[in-house]
Amino acid sequence: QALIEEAMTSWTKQTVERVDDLLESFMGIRDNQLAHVIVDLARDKSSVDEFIETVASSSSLGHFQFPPDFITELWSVIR
Amino acid sequence: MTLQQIGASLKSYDLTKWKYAQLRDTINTSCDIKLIEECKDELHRRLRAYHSWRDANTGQASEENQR
Repeated sequence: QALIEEAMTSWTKQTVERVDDLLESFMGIRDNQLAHVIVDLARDKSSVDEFIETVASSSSLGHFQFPPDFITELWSVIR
Repeated sequence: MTLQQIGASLKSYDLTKWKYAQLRDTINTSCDIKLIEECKDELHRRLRAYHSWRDANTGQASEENQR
């Protein structure tokens, strides 16, 4: 159980870092907390289309108006 | 449609898909004043969206996270 939790923590840390890299390339801004929110949002999504829809309609992330291509990039590093 | 409108529509780009480096480099190197203004507007829009998100969701984000 401890090993699984450790692996999950390590996966989350690496994934958040990669999402943060993408955020920097798209917006010129790194924000670990924003990257975390995006990773959490993708967790229970089963397809990229569902993720795109969720991000676009999200009350907190919708204002960014991330284009579908960029959300697809995010999806590819998260899943 | 006037010639001016046609010219404006031809020069209009969908900057929402551009990466930060593309917008920055265009602002720094392009001679197209209209395009430069559009790039600046797009960068400002993203920055406003980020600050709006940060204010609403963190309230305590550290300045060192920003560039």
